[in-house]
Amino acid sequence: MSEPIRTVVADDHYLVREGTRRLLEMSGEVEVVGTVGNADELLDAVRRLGPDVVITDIRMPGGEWRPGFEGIDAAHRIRSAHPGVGVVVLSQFADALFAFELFKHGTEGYAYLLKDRVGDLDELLGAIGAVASGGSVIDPKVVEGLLARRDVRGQREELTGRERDVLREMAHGRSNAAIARALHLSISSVEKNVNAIFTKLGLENSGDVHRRVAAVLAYLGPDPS
Amino acid sequence: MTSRLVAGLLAVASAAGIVVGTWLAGGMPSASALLPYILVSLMLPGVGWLLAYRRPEVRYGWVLLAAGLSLGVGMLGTGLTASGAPAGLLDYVKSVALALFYGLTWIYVPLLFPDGRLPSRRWRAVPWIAGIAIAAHGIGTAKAGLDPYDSTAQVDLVAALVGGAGQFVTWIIAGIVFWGLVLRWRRSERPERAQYACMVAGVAATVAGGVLTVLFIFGLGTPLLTGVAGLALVGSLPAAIGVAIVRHRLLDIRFGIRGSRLHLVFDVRPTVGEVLSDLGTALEDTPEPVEQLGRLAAAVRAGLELRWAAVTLADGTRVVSGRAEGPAALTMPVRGGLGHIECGPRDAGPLTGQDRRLLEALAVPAGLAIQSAGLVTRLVNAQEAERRRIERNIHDGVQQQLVALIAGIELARATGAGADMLAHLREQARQTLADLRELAAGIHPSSLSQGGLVEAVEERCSRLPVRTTVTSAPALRSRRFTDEIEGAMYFTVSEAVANALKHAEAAAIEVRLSQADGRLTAAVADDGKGFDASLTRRRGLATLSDRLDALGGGLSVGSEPGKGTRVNAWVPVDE
Repeated sequence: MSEPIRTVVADDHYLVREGTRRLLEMSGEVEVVGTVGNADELLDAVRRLGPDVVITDIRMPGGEWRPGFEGIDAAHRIRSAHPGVGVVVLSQFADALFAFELFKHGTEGYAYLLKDRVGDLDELLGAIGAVASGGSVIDPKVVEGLLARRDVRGQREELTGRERDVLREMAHGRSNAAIARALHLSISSVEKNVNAIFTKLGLENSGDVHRRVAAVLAYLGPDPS
Repeated sequence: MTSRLVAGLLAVASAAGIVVGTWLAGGMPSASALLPYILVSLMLPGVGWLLAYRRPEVRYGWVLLAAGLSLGVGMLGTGLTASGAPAGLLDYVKSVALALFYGLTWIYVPLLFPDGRLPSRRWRAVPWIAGIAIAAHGIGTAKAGLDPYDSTAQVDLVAALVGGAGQFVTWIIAGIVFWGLVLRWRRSERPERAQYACMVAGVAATVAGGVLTVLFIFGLGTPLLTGVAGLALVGSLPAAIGVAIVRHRLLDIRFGIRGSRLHLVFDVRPTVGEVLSDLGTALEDTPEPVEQLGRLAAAVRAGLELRWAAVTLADGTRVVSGRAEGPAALTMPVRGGLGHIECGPRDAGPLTGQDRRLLEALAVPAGLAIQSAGLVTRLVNAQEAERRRIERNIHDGVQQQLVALIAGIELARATGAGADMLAHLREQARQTLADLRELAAGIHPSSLSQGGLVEAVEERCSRLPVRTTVTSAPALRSRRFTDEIEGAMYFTVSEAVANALKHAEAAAIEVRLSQADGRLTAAVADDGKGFDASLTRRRGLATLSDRLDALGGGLSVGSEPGKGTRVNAWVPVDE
């Protein structure tokens, strides 16, 4: 087994912070080198401890931060000062607004997950692994919300159920092989579905898994102009 | 509608009298020669009808119509006499009518110009004296049997003296009234000045006509001059008023050409009453406070025919109707000092005293609208702030606890947890439930909906860390009020009690609930350190004060440093 990923966990709620730390440490894949309760402490911990990945709450009251955006603003500061550090933002909000705020300067190295993913260790570890290697993840629920929004606007793409499943997996930043494993499909079948999705959304297909999230996001983006 | 019908009938009757009377007096052959005279005479009932029809609430049109009718009756009488009708009653009618016509045109028409009201209270005796003089003139002349067409007729000297005196007094008063009119003209501001100038010229022409006519009676005039004098006598005043209407918008009536067809129409600005009633309806239909201010600005703009109008509140909020350009032509503070109304320039012509009066009248409902708009805005803001507070509480409290619980359960699942860990998780779930309950009680306590005000207040106060007593009349315990009243009173008590704990460091709190004289009252008194009520603003209570205000009640806070605090809240309730 490779070296565990070194992480810092930031959350203003003690029980959440400790619960997340113990969960991650138990997996053996992740080492939690520090836990902090607000954005200022988080920046300080990143400077001192040099983690691979930061897992932060989106909202941590206190300090001179934009209220409600402390986690996202800290994530941007960390990524610009330490481009090698991946950031997983845990959020209570399924509203895509916050996800777009996080991804506004690019998707690389960012993950936006709903907080209840702490109940799904594999998901959480997957996102940590993805951002550690510069990938990106967006919570499938947010993607679903975006698709639903397009449906409401009358921009329905007529994706099949299978294609929606695959799109959701793509949002996880997964490779075709990983998607095939997750959905119990053959790799060629996944490729076919991915092509169909990209054709229907009118996007240029990209073999680069990292870029796929960005492409899907860009397409589903807040401003469809 | 009825008044308009009456105006029409009066005008038609006057016109008929004038036409028929002149015809009979002049004889058939000379009808065409008399046509100018008839047409000029018809101007008086015409103008009177126009004013009375468009502005029936203004007395002036009716005064003109009365003068027109007098002229009509007088002319008819003259005509009938000339065509040989027997004297007697007819003489009286004719004579009184003509005296009335002269009196009205020389005294009342210039005196009551332009809106049918006396220029000031100083003039209040004048109409009475004039009335008596006119009656003396009319009756005296008739009784004396004076006939300007027959100087040889028998004359009753006493009656002639009375008639002459009446006429003399009429002339004197007419002179005084004319002088008053000239003074008003000299003192008036620009738009009214032009109207007065017309009137002064009209009265002067009338007087000149009168003088010429008198000269004719004494045999000193040429027929042409006499004709001109007659025309001036009957025509100058209505002509002057007509010009004041057409050129100078007298009484806000004006003429214009509407549509592609060239037919003359006259338009009138809405009266104060119309603007107010329209505004009332508009405000009722508009629940949004800012929109209400917009309606208000629009009403001012439409009512005064301005290029723009703006309503500005004390807090700087400004709602403009039209495109605000340039400085305001007129600014009117709104009743209660809550803001002011600004008027841009008029589409055509300057603003008049009439406009100022309209604006003054509008400032009253404007004040009320602004006041209620402010109250509504504050209530809505408070409601929003409260919602945000609840959302934050849920987000940072219960939601986080549930996330922690999920993480714990996931950990337990992945590690194969023992009994200790499960018990710990159960405890965590219970705590979450308790917090959720507390939160729900903060939004609306179940004891309030289930048990009523007394029950809920007692329940709230039973959990306080200081000695607290709640007193209430036994009858009040079973009494239920509307949700709004119970909610407002409960949260006022709750806030006052919380303040006593948080800020006053009180050792004892006393809460009294009572109902008397149609008022439900809650009083919260503490023995804490108090505060200087003039320096401190309490936000929570201010919001509740608005809530009580909206229910027709109120809130007072009395406090002095070192003497505790007393909060009194009341709302009106049915006995």
